[in-house]
Amino acid sequence: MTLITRRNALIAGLGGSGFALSGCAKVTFGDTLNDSAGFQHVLAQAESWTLASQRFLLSGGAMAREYAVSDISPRFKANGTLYPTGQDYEDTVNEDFVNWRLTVDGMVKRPVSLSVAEVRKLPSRTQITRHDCVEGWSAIAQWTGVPVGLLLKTAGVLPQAKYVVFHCADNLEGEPEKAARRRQASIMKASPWWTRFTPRPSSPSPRTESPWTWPMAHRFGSGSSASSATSKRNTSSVSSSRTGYRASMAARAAIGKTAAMSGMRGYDGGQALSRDKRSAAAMVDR
Amino acid sequence: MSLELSPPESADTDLVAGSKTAPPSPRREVIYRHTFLVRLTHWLNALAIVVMIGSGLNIFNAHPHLYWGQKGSELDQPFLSIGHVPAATGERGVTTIGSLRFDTTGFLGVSKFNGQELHKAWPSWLTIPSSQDLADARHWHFLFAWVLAANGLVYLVWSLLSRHARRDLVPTVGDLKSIPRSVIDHIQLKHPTGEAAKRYNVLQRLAYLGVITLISLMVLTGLTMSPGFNAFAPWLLDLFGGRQSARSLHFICASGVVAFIVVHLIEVVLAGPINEVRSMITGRYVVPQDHK
Repeated sequence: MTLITRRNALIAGLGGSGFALSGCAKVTFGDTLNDSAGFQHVLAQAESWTLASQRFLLSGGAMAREYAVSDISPRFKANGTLYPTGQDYEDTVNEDFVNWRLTVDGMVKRPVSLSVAEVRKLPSRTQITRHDCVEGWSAIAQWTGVPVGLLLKTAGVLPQAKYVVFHCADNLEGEPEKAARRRQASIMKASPWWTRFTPRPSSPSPRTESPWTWPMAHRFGSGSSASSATSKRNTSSVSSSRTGYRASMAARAAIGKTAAMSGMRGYDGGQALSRDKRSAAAMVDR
Repeated sequence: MSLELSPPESADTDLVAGSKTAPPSPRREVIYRHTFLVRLTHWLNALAIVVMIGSGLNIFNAHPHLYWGQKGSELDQPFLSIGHVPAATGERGVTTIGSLRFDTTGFLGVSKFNGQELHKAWPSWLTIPSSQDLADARHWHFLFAWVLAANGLVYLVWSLLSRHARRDLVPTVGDLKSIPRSVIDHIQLKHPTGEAAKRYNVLQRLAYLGVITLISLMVLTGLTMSPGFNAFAPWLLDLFGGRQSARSLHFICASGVVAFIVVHLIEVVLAGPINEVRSMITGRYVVPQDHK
């Protein structure tokens, strides 16, 4: 029979305070490590392993799961803001996007600049996919739009380009950036990142259709942007707040070689892609 | 006087043989209890788990709500939420589970750190880093996820190949029959002595198998939260019932791991912390003697 002797109680007490101390030590030590450049380098290294292994797993061209209409979120949470601030955005909304241009420039053979009407004439695809935030939440919506790959193909991405930087109209400008791997990726060819959001069949029509958005962009940075991305903020998008559409939008994609990787933090490691690669690829090839 | 017995695989039989030559009581019987691999993977795992919990809580703080199913945001119905509400006496921390509401001021929702009142789900002294930083917390989490998974894999493969799992962890029929007895012993804080102390008791075996299962589930549910991994292995979404279910299960399994750690540490202290911790560092364990 084990008795709780005074010695044991003393040791337990020491152990307990040791545990509490280790809690403090954990906080202090963790913060010290977190602030050290050396450890940040280790973290970045681990992230590159994570990225490489995800790329390896997805090298077969696996696509994101598509969901049923019944899976669509009753109310879709906007990532960022529903109403980007700023006079240029106001103006763009007030003139109904007639002067809005979608620009693809940077390390491309033929910079592309398209009006809303021109974009709408391009082949589009519709899918119901899940939007995941790094914070942890998810929302499912139906998206219709031009596959990003088609736009990139039109622009002719130079072989040395590695990244695509999306510039958005909301305050998180420069935030979502996408690594387009050099192998050019079935990813870029097939994924309709750049999509037009369509309302669910049952919901009332919004006043203005079409916030431009990328349901699957997945990199967030701390205010970094590519050196090639310098032009003025071009904007677009709007939607009814009643239906809760996401309204942040990309107006410009810049293709760059270095895309300010060092400034970016919090890489998600993965991306959601359309599963129906074939049909998306077909659109690209059209 | 110490009796040193080393080969771990045959520790039990050696002891029987060794006891013939051992001097009569009082004696101090020392066995080689934990192999090098068990000790190494134990401490690496302990380190990884501490960092995973700390960084995981920081990540959780970025969206302190849990849901079931494929999707979930504040616009849907979380089954668990941690938040804060204004009150006459100041901000109050509120934790909601289903229809139950708890005032958790001081710990969840509203807590103090370095003398400052903070409105965040989990308190800063528990998170890595202490300040709210989703990007850095994710980096920590994914670095130590590699450590946790690689270390766990080495341990699992070794345990199966060396028969450690079968010999030391899987309970025998006799063990299972002794569950009621063992439960009573544990409640009375009675710890095995002599021969019985040389092997894991049945509750120990079940606890270790349980925590191994929980950690394995955490790795799988963690991967299920990755959109990229979803594309690679969509069956995981079906297995766990969706990304948000996987996230909730991830949190629930983590709670189970924390419960294990608490009980584990209490048991270490009760069973003799110096002997227990030493055995996990050097491998050598002094067999507690019968008090008769």
